[in-house]
Amino acid sequence: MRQADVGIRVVEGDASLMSDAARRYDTVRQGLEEIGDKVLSTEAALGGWQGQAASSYRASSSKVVTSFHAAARVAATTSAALRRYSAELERCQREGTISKRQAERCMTEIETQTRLLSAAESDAEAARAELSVAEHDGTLARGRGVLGAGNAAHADQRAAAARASLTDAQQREQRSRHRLSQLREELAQWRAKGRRAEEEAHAAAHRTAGVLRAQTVTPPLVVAAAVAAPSALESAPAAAGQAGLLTGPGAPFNAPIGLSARAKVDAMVRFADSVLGKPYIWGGGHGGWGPQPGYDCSGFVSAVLHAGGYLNQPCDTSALVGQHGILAGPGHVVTIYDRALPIAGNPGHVIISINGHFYESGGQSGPWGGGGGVESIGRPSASYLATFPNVLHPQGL
Amino acid sequence: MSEFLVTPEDVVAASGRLTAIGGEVDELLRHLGGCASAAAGTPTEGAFDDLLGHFSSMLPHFGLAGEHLGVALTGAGRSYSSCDDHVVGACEAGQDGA
Repeated sequence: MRQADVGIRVVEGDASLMSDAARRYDTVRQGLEEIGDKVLSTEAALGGWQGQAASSYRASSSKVVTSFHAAARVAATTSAALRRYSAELERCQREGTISKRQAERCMTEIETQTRLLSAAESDAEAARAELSVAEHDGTLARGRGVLGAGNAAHADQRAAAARASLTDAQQREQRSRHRLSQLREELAQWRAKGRRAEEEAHAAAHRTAGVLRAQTVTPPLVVAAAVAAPSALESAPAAAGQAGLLTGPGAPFNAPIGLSARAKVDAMVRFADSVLGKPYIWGGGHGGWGPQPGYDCSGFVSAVLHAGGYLNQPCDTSALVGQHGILAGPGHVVTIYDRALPIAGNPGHVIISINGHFYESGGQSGPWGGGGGVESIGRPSASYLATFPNVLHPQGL
Repeated sequence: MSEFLVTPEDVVAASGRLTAIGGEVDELLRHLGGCASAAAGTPTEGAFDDLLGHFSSMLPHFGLAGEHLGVALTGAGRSYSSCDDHVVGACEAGQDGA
């Protein structure tokens, strides 16, 4: 029986895989909670550590713990949504499968009953014809008086047999019609049930997709870049060298010119990752290469390029083209998509791709994310990338 | 000017625990990677893949954050130790001078 014959589609999807995914997200939730708690317990282990460095560290670790716990909540919500969807999908698939099988059974029996009805109708028609002939023969024979008495009796017997056949055929006809009526009603009910299961599965899927789409994970921003020696000792000559600021997100980073391609890329990624989550600030990043409270699109891209040893000063979107070391065309590892002027309703903007990962500050949001502060976004659509007339790359990358 | 009370060894020991976070997060990431095809064929496929991709791209930042905290503590511990040594050295030099 083909699927279209019964009009029921059992929704696709592997509920057990979905259930497994729910368990995996739950494990991730647990792991993130444990790591967050570990950061907390580490802080407790520092005991009476006090001073500016301690305050700076604690402010940072507190943000990290908050981020870990927030991400754990996202994983928990995702897990719960997937678990619910898995259960609903399994129930709908089970009901859909049962409905489909029952509908197929009804269809098979309808075909059988239709054949039986057709045979009963043929038998009834033949019996009627036989009865008509027998009655006619009987009338003729009785018209011949005593001479036709034998033939009349024989014709009466044939007529009686034909009447019995007709009655039997009519009864079979009636039974088949009655059964067909029952089966068609039953088929309609199974079809309705199957369609309901399909609709419920789709509704559950859309609810789940809505929950999943609403989830977002904000990476931790470590703001205490400089957990350095206490200022009271910074003037001590031996300490001064040791008290150099620690490397950390948000700390100024200047990669020396002449780095290898690999080192340049690593430095750019490290810098970009270190400022993720900083807000979009118009003009941000254009005042210099030092730590910034936020970045605009070109200030951010300039700073990323500078981390790799490019650019002498921050550039806006119209000045990137033609900068020393910035060449036309896509790069092997790093590509800059620059739109200096508004095009087709899109304002000037610039984004950067490093190792296939896209970063930007500001810009338009799309299915790939974006539209906020400094972000790591998914791969934008080809049509969106096509709105950037200047595709550039740093020399050697 | 800071007032401080610190045991440099505790700070350095704590940093070791934090720098391990990167590996733990990587392990979670690998674990999450196992559910890649769970939504295949369902209307949730796009949303599921998007969230999984989002999670996968964000989790490394959590590992980095832990490592950064660890690195910060390591540096702080060294700085405190160095300052301590310098003060001790200066005091001894002063005594010698006396």
